[in-house]
Amino acid sequence: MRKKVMVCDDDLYVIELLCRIAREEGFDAISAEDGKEGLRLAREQLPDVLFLDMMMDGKDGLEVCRELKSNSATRQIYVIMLSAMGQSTDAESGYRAGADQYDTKPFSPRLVRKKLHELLDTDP
Amino acid sequence: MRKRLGITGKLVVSSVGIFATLWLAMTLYSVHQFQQLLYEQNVRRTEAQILNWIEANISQITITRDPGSLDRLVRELRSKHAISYVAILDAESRILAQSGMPASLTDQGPAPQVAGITSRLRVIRDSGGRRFFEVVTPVKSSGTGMSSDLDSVFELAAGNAAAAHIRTGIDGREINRDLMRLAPRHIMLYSLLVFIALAIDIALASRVAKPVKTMARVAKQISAGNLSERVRRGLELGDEVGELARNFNQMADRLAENREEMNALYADLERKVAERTLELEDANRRLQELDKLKSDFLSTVSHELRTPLTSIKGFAQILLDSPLDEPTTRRYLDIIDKESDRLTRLISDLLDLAKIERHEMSWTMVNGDLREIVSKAVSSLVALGKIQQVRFDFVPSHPLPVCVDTDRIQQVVTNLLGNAIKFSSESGRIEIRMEERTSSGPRDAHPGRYVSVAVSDKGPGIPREERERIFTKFYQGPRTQPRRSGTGLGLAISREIVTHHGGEIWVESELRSGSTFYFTVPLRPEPEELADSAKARREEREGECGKR
Repeated sequence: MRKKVMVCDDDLYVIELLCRIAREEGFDAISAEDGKEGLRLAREQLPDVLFLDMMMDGKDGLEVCRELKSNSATRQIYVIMLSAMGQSTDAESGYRAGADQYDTKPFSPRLVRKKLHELLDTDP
Repeated sequence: MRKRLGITGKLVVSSVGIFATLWLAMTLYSVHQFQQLLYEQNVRRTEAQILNWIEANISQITITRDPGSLDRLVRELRSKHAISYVAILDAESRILAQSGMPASLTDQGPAPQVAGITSRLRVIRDSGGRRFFEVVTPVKSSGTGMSSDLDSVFELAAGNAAAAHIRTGIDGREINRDLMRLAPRHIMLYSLLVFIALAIDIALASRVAKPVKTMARVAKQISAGNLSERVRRGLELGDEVGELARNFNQMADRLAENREEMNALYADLERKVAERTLELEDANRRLQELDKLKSDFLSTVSHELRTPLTSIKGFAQILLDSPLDEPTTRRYLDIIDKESDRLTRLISDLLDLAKIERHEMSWTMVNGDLREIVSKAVSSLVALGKIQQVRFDFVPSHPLPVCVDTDRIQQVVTNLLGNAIKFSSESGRIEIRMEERTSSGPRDAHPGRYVSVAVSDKGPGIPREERERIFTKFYQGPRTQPRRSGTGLGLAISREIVTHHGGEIWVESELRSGSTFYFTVPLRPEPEELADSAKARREEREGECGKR
């Protein structure tokens, strides 16, 4: 079964970029444009990896992460928190909310490809 | 338990004591003096009588010595006034005759030899304890020896011994009886006087003491905390007590005043402390907010700058690494292009804002006609195909001379028009209205002549709580498009520009009925109006005006 990658970000270009990268590498890709939709979709689809933007209107990334991680059904989703804010405290907040990884924008697509294979090629 | 004596008590006791002692002393002295007087009177009288009697009967006594006669004589003498006993003794102190002499006294022994001139007095007691004043008178053949003439004196001195002695006794009780008779009246009189004096003394003392007692009582109450008590008696006295009373009240008044002051001061202080605490709390809160805002601002700036970069970087790499068809390639390159522009605009806006806020902006102020500036802004946007229809609602037919940085004011108009376009529907009309006014706007800090530019749209409107917030940095408002096209800094920069020119910028809006953005710029005074018209003409020529 193909691994599923999900992108939750209010920036449509980011969604387009990450989804294309995921699909090019052979994974399925789904997306949501805000936190509320993101939560719903994640619970429903149970992706293997979730790219989560930290700053969004309404429910922000931190909240989504906390909620997913506190639920046994969604806890195992690998959350990569993305931030464009550049504060040193952001990483802390991210990890405290339960994120598995933290990264800043702009990101490098090459590194994203590499990361995805690292995470998702391990088990069959 | 004996109660402690108060001041009145002390005065009374001491007065009574003194007066009593005085009275006693006086009484004793009087009595004694009386006694002495009476006694002397008696004795003198008796002596006189004895002398006369002796003179009259000298020969009988000294020579004849007929017992019968002697008896008769002694009785005779005794019968006279207050003489208790008479005895005639010979030279050997043998009683020749006596009358009334108590037995115990007859055995007294030899009578004192009176070698002196006059009679001798002594006090003797009988067995019963009765007291007698005894006069022993020597009798000489030549006479009593009592005459005072000098012959007798010299005779006696020559050693003429007495032929006989006469002993006469006066009962002490006689004297006491007289005393008892006379003294009481006397004593009563001055006792009365003493008593009156005592009464007056006590009354005076009480009068002095009363205010003092009152003061003591009031003082006790004041020291217990009741500062409203005052001395009410004795204030009118002219002496030290009166002074004390008045001063006491003054002191109490002063104390009460002080306490009032202290209370007021204390209350004031507490109020001030509370105020200051509130101020400090407030300031602290604001500082914290500011701090948070600052970090929020930095976060936001970072976010806004990184977002286009994310697209640029991301799509650039995709273009490099992925197999793409022609349309997709073009599209991605286009995105990179547009996002670069966006980033550029953003950076430019941010720097503008920073410069303006730090007063590092260089302004080029020139004279111009506001109408021209506005129409130029409109034309640019029309040329870019941005707006279909802008209606100039009212433009004055006469020039609107202003002294402005043309580019910047144009920037403001462009910003407002751009927002109007963004938030209007396709068919919605945008109207521009310009007119003169006498105030700068809602705040109206400096009355004067201004011109206002109003840009109206028929968009969704702005709720009241947002009307101030929209002028803050990075305010984006409700998103009507998938992709933010603005920087969120337009209105903030516009406000800075307008403020720098001395005008105001604000919005009037109702939900669902559109918004109208106003900004004002001061009208340039007519050249004739300027004090220094030479300067004005020069400025006209050079094109510069006003402050930079």
